Order: sequence, then C-alpha cells, then structure tokens
Amino acid sequence: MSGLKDIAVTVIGASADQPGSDPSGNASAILHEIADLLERLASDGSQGMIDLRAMPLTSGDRAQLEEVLAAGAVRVAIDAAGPTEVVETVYPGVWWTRHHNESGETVAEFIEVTVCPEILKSHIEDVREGGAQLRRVLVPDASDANESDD
Amino acid sequence: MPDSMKPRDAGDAHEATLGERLAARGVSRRAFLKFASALASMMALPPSMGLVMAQAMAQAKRPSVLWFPFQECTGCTESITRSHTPTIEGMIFDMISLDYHETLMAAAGHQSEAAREQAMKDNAGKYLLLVDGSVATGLDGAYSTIGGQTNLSWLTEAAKGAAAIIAVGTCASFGGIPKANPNPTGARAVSDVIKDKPIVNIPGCPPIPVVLTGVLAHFLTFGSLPELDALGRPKAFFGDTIHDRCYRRPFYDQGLFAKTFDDEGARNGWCLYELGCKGPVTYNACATVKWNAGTSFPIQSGHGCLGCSEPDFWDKGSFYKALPVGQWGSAATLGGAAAVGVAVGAAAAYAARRRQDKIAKGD
Repeated sequence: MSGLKDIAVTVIGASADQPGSDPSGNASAILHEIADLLERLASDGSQGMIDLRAMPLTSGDRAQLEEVLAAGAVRVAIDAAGPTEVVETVYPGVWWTRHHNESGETVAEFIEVTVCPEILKSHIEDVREGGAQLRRVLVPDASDANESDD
Repeated sequence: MPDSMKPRDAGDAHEATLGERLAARGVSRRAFLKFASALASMMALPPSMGLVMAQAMAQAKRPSVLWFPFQECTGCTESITRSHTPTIEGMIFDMISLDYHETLMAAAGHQSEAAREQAMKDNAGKYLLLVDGSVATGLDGAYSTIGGQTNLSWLTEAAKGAAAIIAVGTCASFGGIPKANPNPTGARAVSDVIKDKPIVNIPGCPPIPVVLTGVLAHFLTFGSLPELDALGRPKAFFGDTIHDRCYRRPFYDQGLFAKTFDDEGARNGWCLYELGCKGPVTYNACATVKWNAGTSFPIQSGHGCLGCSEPDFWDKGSFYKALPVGQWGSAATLGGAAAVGVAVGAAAAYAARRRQDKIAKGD
C-alpha cells in the first residue's frame, strides 16, 4: 500500500491548465453588458443590475472580471445580517456588491450600474425611527428627574 | 411555546407586518433588503426584484401555516430547521405563523389536535398547507394514522380550506421511497389525492430549505405561487439540471470522466457521469445553492447525483450505472438538457450527445 502522500491529488482550478480555469466568454459578455448599462445610466439615468451568480463563471472568467473591474475610489463595509462589501470599480457608476452571511458564505453578488447602490441608502422608515429615538435621547432625562425626586 | 406556535388571536400581534416584526427583533431594513436581494438571486428573478420583494414583504402579514407529517422520516423538517438564523433560509420562521407542526410544537395529544382544528377554522380559505411524506391510500389509508385518523382523511379535509398546498420533499411530491416497489401501503403523492387546489412540489430527499423560503417569499410578495414546471416544481429552482450548473461540467464537455471512484480521473475531480451520476436528468438547485451552509453538494464530495428530486428515483436502476437510454429519457433529451446550461457551442453539444449515446450503449 502506498502512503497518502503518494496519492496524487489535484485541486480543481488550482493550475492554469485545468479546464475549469479557462475563460468561457461569459466575462466578456458581462463586460459588454456593463458598457451598455453605463451608457443608459449616463443618458437617461436608468439603473441596471447584473446577478453574477446567475451564470456559470470559471475561475478564468472571474480573474478577467476582477482585472477589468478593479477597485476604484469607494469601498464600503456594511454590517447587516453578516458583512456586505460594496466597491465602486474604476468605472464610476459601476459597483461590485458582495453579500455574505454571518458564516462568511457569499449569498449574493451583483454588479450594479447606478449612481448609488440601494443598500447604501438609509431607509425612510429607519430614518423616522432613528429621528424619534434621537428626540427621546435629547429630551431632559426622565429617569434623572425621577432620581432627583427621590 | 415559541411565538410562532401560539394560537392565533383575532387582531393583536398577528396584525403586525413582517417588516415591523423584523424591526422589533432588531433586523434592520437594510438587512431585510439584503435578504430579499439574495432570495431574488436564488430564484433567478431579475436582480431589481430584490427591492420590490423587500418592500412588498415588509408590508405583508404572516400567513397561517399548517404542516402535516405523513409517511415521512422527518428529514424534511430536519433540513428546514437545521438552517440557522440569520441565514436566508432561516428567515422562513419569521415569515409564517406556524400553527401546527407535530415535531416542533410544544402541545401534544388532544391539545395539538385542537390547535390544528382551531387554526383551520380561524383561517379557512387562507392558510397554507404544507405536507411532508407520502399519503398512504391502501386499506382506505389505514397504514398511516395520527390520533386515530388516517393521513388521507386529514389531507382531504384540510385541503378544502387551504389557499394552496406545498408538498415538501420527494415523498409528498411524488410518493418517494414509501412508493418504491412494491409500495405495500399504496403510497401516493399529494397531487394524486388532491386535484382541486394549487399544489407546489418541492422535491428532494431532503429538499433544499431556501426553496421553501423562496416559495413563501413569492407568495407574500405577489400573492401568488411562483411559476411551476410540468411536475409542479418552482421553475426558479428546478429550471436547470444539476448537470447544467455543475462545476465539473467543463470536464464532461472535454470527455474527461472518472471510471472508478479511486482512479486518476476521480482524483482529478473529473465528471462522474460514467459512475452513474444522474445530474443530467435531475432538476434541482444543489449545484448552485449547495448544502450545509453552502459547503458542498454530493458531486463536490466525489459521489454522483442520485436524482433524489425526480419521480420514482428509487426504482430507476443502480445509482452506479451510467444513465441508460430509455429509462431516464433518451440521449437526445439528455443532450438537449446538456445544451441549455453552460454556453457551449453547437459542435460541443453534438459531441456530448454522441458521447452519451456511446456510453449508454456500453461502447
């Protein structure tokens, strides 16, 4: 019997000559779609979104996307039901959003073509509740008054 | 008793919207938007639907849900409940008022049956009926009873007041293992018994939890059930075969197959088609959603797909024999399914069909 170290184990996608690492052409298609969406955003303000989990991407495809859509000036970390990172790429208006759960698993990944991704905006209901909370904080403290009465 | 198990009182807490309930639990609307976006992604809805779903669900009231266990192993319940919050699928228990579930409810015996009858009465015409397990129909259903009543009578009675029925798991969807030859109990699918209600089948042994979440989210968002395929399965999750979305697919396209479970091909992670993988004819989302918090799925662990979410999978021959032509469909349909997923050229698809024909013929 040979030892474990004698068993040749190859990790898929680890080397460039693995089939799964070749660009499939999907990255190019996505990049062309982004270019179209950017033109629309610039001309009439319409927003666009591409779900990166909706199509099969090889490691080569991902490498191509990450090379072209390199990080730009804005990087935002959100902590809501697990971390989310939103990065504006070197192309203004093209945002790469990665949602993770608290285990670190990626649950959704989008390319958003917009002036500001929806997840960054404060929700009006949260604003309303936050404002009311701040008012309560600013009101002369009822508990202090109670304590002075004692 | 968990809040979701409490008998429903008219008015009061049940009037709160889902958004209000989540906010009270400290789930921000930003987190909820994230949840909805991830769910829309999993359901293959347009990405912009995440915002629409978040807005609609936040305003929705939780529907009453009755969950009936028939000829089942509780694996379906295990699958759903092993999803820990705050995972996406874990949100399911925030989205519904689970008014009856034998395994989860604190009540037992006559109390639990009273809760079931009360919920059916209070929510007549509006509740969702979830069923896991097949329905024993032999000897008028006497093979499987609860509290002295047959599953068959429970189902037919509860179906009358249900807005819709969701068959959870392969047994409820297609009869599953209880229906396997020689099917001594006369096991049938829910859809074999009930013909006059909308039924969603969520097969899988067990089913993928997030599919149930997705169906419920669709119901809450749009007030309707999602689009179904010919077998009553939500197309969003069952639109592609395992093979279409398998990460080993490039090996298949290049004709690189494992011939045994310990050969070089197996070690290299090549395609398991020749080892009996049923991925090409199995419609489910395992290859994309995966299992155990997204860790893996059977093919990633080195074993072919058993086809557990397909009708009669148990009686379709060996799990370890390459797909035969005829039993699971022709090689032409296999090739057709193969051509749908990854963008491969027509020549590659043709080559794949020829390869499948050769393998099926034992060449």
